[in-house]
Amino acid sequence: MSANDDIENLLAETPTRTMPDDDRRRISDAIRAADGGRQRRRWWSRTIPAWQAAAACLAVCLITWSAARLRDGLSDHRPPPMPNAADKNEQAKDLTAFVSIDRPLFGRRHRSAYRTSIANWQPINTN
Amino acid sequence: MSRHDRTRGSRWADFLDENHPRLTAYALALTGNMDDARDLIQDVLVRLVEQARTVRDEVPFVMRCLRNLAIDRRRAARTRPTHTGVDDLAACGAAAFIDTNLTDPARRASADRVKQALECLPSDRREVIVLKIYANLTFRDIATILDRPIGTVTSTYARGLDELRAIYIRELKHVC
Repeated sequence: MSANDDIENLLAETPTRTMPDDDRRRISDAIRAADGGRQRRRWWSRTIPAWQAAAACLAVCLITWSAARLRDGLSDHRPPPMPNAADKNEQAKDLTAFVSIDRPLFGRRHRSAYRTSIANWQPINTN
Repeated sequence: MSRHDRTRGSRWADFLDENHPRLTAYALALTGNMDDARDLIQDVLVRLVEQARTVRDEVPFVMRCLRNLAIDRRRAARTRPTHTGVDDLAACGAAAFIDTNLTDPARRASADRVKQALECLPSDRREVIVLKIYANLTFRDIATILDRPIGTVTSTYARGLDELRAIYIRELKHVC
């Protein structure tokens, strides 16, 4: 037993003031209110239900698929082969063109390109 | 309870429920009255919630926050800015955390003497005693809170107790 034990015991046995319950409740309410405000401000940190996450993923997939389908559809507009053009095809099968489509998609520049044969192409008669 | 959970307000409210006696004792030692002590505790905990702080050792961290905020407020309350340290807390803090409103006359007299003895102590020694005995912290935690070496804290505590015993005995002889 050290020399300070007696005074330590005396101090420990001396009662201290406690915070009134009303004050404690008020502080707890303030803490919870602050937490509510923080979560409202930082909406991205909140936990979201699984169905909302699934719906968001589905929406993104649908938009991506639609955009891809639209882009692929544009590249299919090739001119049909001309009748009686078999000989010309044989002669000009090396005639290919590099087609590049540059158009905006969702606010960004989207570039789609493909190589196509122009062996069957003919001048358009505008007369 | 995980550290992440402490970022939630309800968890800090639970922290208050668990630790309010020690928080109140130290806040009273820092401020000197219950109103300011309550405001101090509320401000610290609300700030921790708003900043979504993740804290490993909550009690020492909150105690340190209480101390820093109390010093900031006393600095701000001054008409001209000067360096304010723990010595300035002595004038107001004293031993307001000691409960002297007791029905038993003998216990009330003893509490009065302890309170007076604590008020006579230098503030740095009183602060270490409050943190050790009434906040029930380890010397390591106290050293962290006060930003002092642990050896300094233990020697300050021992000197404080020696001095406190001498003052208490002197008061006892004076009364008798």
